[in-house]
Amino acid sequence: MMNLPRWNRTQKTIRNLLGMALCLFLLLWSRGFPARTLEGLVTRAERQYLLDGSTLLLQTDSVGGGHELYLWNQGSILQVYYDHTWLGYELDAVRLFDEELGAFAGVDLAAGKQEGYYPIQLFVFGDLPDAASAEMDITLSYTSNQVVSTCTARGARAAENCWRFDLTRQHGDADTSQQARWEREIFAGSQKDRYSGTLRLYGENGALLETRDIGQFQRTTMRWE
Amino acid sequence: MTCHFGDWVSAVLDCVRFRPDRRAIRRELEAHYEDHVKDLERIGYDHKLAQERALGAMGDPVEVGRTLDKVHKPWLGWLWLASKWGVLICWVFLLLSDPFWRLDSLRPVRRTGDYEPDGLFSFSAGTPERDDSIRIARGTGAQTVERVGYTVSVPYAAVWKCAKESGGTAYDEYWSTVVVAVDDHRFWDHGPKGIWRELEAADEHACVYRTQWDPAGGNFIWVRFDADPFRALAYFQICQLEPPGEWLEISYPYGEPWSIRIDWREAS
Repeated sequence: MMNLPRWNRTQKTIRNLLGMALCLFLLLWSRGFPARTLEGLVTRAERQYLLDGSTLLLQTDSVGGGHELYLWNQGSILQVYYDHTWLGYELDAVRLFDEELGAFAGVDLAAGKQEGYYPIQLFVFGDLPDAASAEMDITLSYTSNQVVSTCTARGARAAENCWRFDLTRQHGDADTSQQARWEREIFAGSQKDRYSGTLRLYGENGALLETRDIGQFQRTTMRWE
Repeated sequence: MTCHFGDWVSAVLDCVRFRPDRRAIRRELEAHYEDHVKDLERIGYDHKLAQERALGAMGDPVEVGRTLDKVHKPWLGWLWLASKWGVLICWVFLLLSDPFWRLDSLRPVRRTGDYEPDGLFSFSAGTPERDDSIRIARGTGAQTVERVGYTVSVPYAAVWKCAKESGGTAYDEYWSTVVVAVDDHRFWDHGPKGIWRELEAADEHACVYRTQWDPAGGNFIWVRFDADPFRALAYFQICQLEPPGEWLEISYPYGEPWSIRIDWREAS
């Protein structure tokens, strides 16, 4: 029987390192070659729709175990779901919204319950005039048309062309009305929430620049359902 | 084994900086020493004298130790150990990540030739549409489009005619098959997945066919997708009652919009 050549330590080390490199390559291949940087991830997301030169509007952390990006590109909004693992940024799903005005709302399950309820955030972004401040009359509904509450929220600038509004509960814990029960259910993460609103943008001197009606907010619930 | 030999071995091992090798070196030196003692006893030396002579022949422990240290370089030793565990851990990770489901994506997709060699492909064998349809026109994209490193083309398009009958009335139904190909050189990229549901087709009769399903008709239906690391092929189909006209145009509205025109020519 032919004897296999006996390898010295240098040869074994080289063999092992090559084995590791091959294995790492296969591992990266099996995960779809994750991008090394966030810019690389954005480029790949853009390429899925033959786009380039997007503006990053919003980056949210740990939404339902993953992450989200919102990109603005020539009148369209790219919504990018990704995971950040030790191998890099893994692209999960990309959606294109052909809207000049994007409006998203979501119960932030990832943030965890605060005093028994999840925070709810609404985002409005897109082709908006440069404003110093923003406020919005928000109508919260249960499923499609059962109005739960209305409130006016002040916007926080989350990014350029992007405003964030934090929704607060309007009914106390002791309130036993139907609206209060629906509101508690929504803030507990029932996903029966629907939103509409009127956005008002103000200039430096407090003058009203523009008013926009938003009939329906998209719900950022793709990963939660 | 005398205690002198034990001291000698300890002196040797003290010089070897790569500690994980010390046990193996000790075993080898002991075996060498014991063999020498046995050889000497075989030729008549008594045990004690044989041990003294064998030990003397082993040489200066510091010199032997330094030589062994040069052979057992610590950096190489640690690198070898790390690589040994590293390769094991990597393969376990790889197997846990189940890479085999992606093997299908390595099979090369069609690049030339007939994309529907056996008839109207979206109908299975034995169905009337598959057996009775006649290819009446063929075409390819008049141009290719370059966008963000991708080359988009239409390598194949065909119009099929099938004679049908309903309530005693005979009529012809037409199907168009359009294959849109995207080529690139980035094996790590998975192609422009998003565009397939955004393409539109229009013909000379101003009929627009969209990928979003419309029950009223006018659909540009995405029916099949094949891809390898360098090419993605999407098969679309249009079902229509009227003959297809002279041309069909495929277009995409986002980014830098583009369109590819297909001029029909009679199929031989």
